[in-house]
Amino acid sequence: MTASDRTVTECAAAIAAGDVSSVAVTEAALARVAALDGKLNSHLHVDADGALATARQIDRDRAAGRALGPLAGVPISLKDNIAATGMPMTAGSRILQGYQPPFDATVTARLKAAGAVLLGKTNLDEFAMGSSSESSAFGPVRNPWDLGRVPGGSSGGSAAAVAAGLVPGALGTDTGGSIRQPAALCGIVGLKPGYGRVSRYGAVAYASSLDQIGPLTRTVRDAARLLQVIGGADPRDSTCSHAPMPDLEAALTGEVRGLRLGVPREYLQDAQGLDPAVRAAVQGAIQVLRELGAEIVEVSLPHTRLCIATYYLIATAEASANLARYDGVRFGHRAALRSGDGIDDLYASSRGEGFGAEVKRRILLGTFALSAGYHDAYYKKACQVRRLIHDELLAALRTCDALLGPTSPVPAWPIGGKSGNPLEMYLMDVFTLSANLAGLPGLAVPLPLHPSGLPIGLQLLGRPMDEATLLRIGDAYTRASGTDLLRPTLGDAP
Amino acid sequence: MSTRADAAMVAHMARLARLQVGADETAGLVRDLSAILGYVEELQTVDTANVEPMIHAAQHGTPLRADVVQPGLTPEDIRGNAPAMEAGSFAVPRVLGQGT
Repeated sequence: MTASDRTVTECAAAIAAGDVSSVAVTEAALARVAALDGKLNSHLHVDADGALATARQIDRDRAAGRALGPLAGVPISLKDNIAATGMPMTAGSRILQGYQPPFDATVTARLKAAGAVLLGKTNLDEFAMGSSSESSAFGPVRNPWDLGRVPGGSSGGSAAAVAAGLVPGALGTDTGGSIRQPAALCGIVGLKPGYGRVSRYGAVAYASSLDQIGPLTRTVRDAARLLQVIGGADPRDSTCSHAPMPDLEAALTGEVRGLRLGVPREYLQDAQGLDPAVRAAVQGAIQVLRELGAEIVEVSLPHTRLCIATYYLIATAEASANLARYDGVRFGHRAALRSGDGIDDLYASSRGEGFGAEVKRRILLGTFALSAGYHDAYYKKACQVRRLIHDELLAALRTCDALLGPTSPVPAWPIGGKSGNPLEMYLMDVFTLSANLAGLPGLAVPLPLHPSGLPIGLQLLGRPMDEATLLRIGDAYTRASGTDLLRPTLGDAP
Repeated sequence: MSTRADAAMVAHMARLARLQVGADETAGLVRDLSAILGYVEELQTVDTANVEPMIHAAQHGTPLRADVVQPGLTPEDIRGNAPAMEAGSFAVPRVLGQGT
């Protein structure tokens, strides 16, 4: 087994047992980044010195017989909209170029306390606004399965890095599918926890009623390990739930007998734009779960098609407010002033220079949805439809333990293939948005490869805060189908 | 309600958002926002009479922490990222007399 084959939990176990040192694992990860990331562009910053210093400390702790945390010595990267001291944070935007966060996000502090080796910061769509990781100000991320294709987004750097074996695990953020969709398009596992499961303190706010931080990993067990570490109540985020966190790895029993799984017809037979081979792969997964003993029932979510319009009004409205903080005064890019310029010129020119096209589009759309004369017809209307979407999902989840369907309607598309048409890109999110709108947990796990050789994903949606059941189903399915073993071929990299 | 984006609408939103939009960007924004606003029209077909708007997903409430003094960021931490400082304060150009 080479270093790049180890999962998070395997890596932690090997280090704890003394089979390998954290320094060796970290050096292997750095060597793989050096060999492959020129092509993938998955990382915006690599903290080799900091990572090796942590790795040496973990190795000393082990040698001294000190207790090791659940991630001791394991390299983990953070999406570059999650703050970590000692590393710059750009959120993929020129407006934050050079910004040095003076504090750790709560998830960063918890990873450190668990012994993780923070390797670097991963590339993303600017301010997490995108489904392809092409809107980064620092160049597109490439899919390790086909370098001519997108990795999905917006956590595309985290997904590409994990799929390519640069790191065994990474964190991302998910506002409308930004963890699950790139996980699916890169053939790995992505978990969006229920809203409030993970503190958002230190994550760059995009749409605060929808944003959640979560893990991207190769196995469901790894996702459970990472959520166990980063989740739980936080006095710094009042929207963070005080609900008790169960033992997530203990939930991975491999047993799905007695579970009732709903298949929304709008996600499968009635889904528009769904690739027929994706549909067939989901049907194959349903068969696997049925053979494992789960009961499968059909359900209906008639509001599914409305999720896109609802999401793109609510998310952009919240973004237009959240991004008001980038004003060229306290941090971030400041435009050069011309003689006679006042404060409004400073705001407008700093923001005009600092934000890219998709961010401007969303700020303007969100400003419109909140503006006088349009607020009730757009923002309020969308919030009312959000309630209907929420109620419909919860009704289905009263009779089902989880819902399942495809994560993305299609496999990864060519770079540039949809970037000229924002609306066409938004339509790719049809299956992932409902979890954010309703605040439910969502888990993407790999399906068998598409006939094109590209990865695709199964999505599981669960009851509020019931990540444990999703992880249990996802773990049973991936181990039964072997889809947790898919790896791209990347030449003879170390 | 049917609303189409045009150059005047884009300019108005850009002013409200304090966002400079270049002359070369306007036509593309009008095209894209028109397509998106046309798409979201479908929400108007939904009967939402007596539906309470859902403005947040935090259905579990927002518990407050104990009101206890704790260490926080220092002024130096905050100033470190400022683009312009004068005498320990953030420096900005003329604020009064801007006709907004």
